[in-house]
Amino acid sequence: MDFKKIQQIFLVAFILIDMFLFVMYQQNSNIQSDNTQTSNETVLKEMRRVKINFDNPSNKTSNGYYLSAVKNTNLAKQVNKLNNQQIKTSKYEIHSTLNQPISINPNDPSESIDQLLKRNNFILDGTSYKYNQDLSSKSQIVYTQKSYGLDFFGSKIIFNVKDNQVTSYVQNNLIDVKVLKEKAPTISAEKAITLLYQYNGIQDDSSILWSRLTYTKSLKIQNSGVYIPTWLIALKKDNQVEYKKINAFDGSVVNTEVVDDNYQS
Amino acid sequence: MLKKIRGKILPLLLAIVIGISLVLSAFILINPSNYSNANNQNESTELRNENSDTKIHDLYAPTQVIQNWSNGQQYTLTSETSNVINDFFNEIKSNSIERITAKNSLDNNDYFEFLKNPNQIMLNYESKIPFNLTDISVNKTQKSKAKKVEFNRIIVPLNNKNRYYLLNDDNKKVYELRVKSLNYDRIYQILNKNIKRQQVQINRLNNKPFVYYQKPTSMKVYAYLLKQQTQSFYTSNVFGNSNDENVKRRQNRTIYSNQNQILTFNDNDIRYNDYRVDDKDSNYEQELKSAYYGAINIGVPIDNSVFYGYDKKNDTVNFRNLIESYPIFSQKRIGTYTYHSTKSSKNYQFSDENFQVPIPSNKNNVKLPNTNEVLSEIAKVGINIRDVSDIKIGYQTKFNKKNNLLVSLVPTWFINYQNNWYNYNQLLSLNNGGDSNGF
Repeated sequence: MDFKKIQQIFLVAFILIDMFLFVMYQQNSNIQSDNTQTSNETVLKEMRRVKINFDNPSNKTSNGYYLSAVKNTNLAKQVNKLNNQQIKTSKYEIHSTLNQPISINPNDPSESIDQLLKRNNFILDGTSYKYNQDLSSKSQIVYTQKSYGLDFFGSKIIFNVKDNQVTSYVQNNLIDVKVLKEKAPTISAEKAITLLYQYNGIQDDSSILWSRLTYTKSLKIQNSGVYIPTWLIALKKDNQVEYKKINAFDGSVVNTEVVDDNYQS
Repeated sequence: MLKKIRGKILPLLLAIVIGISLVLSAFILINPSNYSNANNQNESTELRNENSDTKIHDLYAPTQVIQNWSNGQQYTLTSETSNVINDFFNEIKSNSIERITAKNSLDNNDYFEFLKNPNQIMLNYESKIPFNLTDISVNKTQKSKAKKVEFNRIIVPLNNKNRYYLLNDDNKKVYELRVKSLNYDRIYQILNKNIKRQQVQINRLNNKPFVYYQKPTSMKVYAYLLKQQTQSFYTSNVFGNSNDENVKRRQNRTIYSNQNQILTFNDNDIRYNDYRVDDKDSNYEQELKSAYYGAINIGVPIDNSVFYGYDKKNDTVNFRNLIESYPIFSQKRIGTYTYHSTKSSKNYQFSDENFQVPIPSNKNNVKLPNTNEVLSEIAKVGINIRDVSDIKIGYQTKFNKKNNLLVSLVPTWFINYQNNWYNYNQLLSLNNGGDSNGF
């Protein structure tokens, strides 16, 4: 056997070895990526597998407060100074029909409405509210009341729109907003969504339209509410939209609890 | 010429494939996933705890922050909207320690003067803790030195960005920590936020450093909704799903036990004695670690708890809930957790009730007298100040008469007398046959 043949045999052998090593290396990389994949990512993968549609949620955490607030029940008196509209008030709400419909830009409805809110004889406490695109639709432009960097889900102005014109609105308002406790960390959107799925709160074959951090009422105690940062998650299945709420402090499902109607502190 | 090249192709190819195989082998061997399983044994990071997000360093955290101005005045700093202690501590500990130097132990006077140096911020713990239980970043070269450090105060001078100090009241040791550069901008930002300042002075009480509040102070009243945990939550954490434990019921008490574990529910009080001690606490650090891991495994609610002192006499580790940096005291021991270990057992005590959600309180602020007035009033009723080891502002739970899950937190003074905590009014009536049960 001459040297040349030995070299040829070695060449073939090492080519086979290289192929084997390459496959092993690939396998190893896959194991490694599986190990570093967080449990959240595993759940998200599972969700996609059962055909739940969603954009990748953020894994950023943040901070929030426990807040208390009281529903404004003094609306009847406060609307006296508003003009150019016909107003009816109930205990917690203002129902207003505009004398003259106001045109808005359908592609950017907040543009015109933001200006209107600055006029203090048009809408009560208008500058406390900001445009909420998630809750808005073609026929309803929704503004929610601002709060400590977020907003109150349940305190809003709903502008009714017909033919690109605002014809009327409904408003409620929270007052006496107080911080109950120092700020604490909130979970990420990714964590909230994976938890909701694990609670069987998201059906197969549905879509997550959006998720948003907002203050919702967790407790009603006498005439005050305790509000907590909440992940509001909009789900759509078969053309039906549903909102689910996850407590952004501890990841539990939020159901408003009525504690004690006769509570005297 | 061509023949020469052809002759060289084969060896060249061979060299290439051998080279490739060496490279691939190297990649496979140094791939970290081969070592990841070994690392998972490390208890301090990988312990599965579904019961809590609190890390060990969150539990062993400072409980007070004092700022010394340049004119020598001292102030405690608190805030209703943010945990000022955490804000400072997070800022400080992000700087990696480049060098630790143990200074000579100071004499008593010099040590006290150090605590009163102008232009510094001090973070205080209730008792000393080992450096290992913090998450202060340390350069590799200093890690072995750091392991030996125990401290109960952190002093950050505001005129030298490169260093800060750890102090130990027990042996008056001072450790100098060198860092690259503390971020004073951030520190001043925190100082200028919405912070409440109360003027204090650090003097001696029974020859120990002690915080005297100089003026009467007005304090907010808080309120909470309590949550009561079920017995089955604890029995399943302690005994698992085996269901072979013994159950005895006697009046208000329910006792679950097996050969080496006893779980006793007595009204709202829960005690767990664990005799499966295969790793007894060999030193202080081990004891503090066991207190933490025990709480996690049993499901003691520690998300808002903080280390609140080591009682040498009874060898117990104590934890309390804080509100606005002040400790909460409760006759029913809500929010209080203690750990005590012996040669043969690990023992835990806590409440089945916990502070769940803060609720609005309509009560007016309460005005508290200054420390000197507290000292003179308790002396008047015959309390020997030598038996007083601490006096603190804290919050007393007061239950709503109609709904016992609603509780007010009322600020008052608390005095540690003969190793028990009493609230001010309680102590004043103690010698008149008042309630002698401490907290």
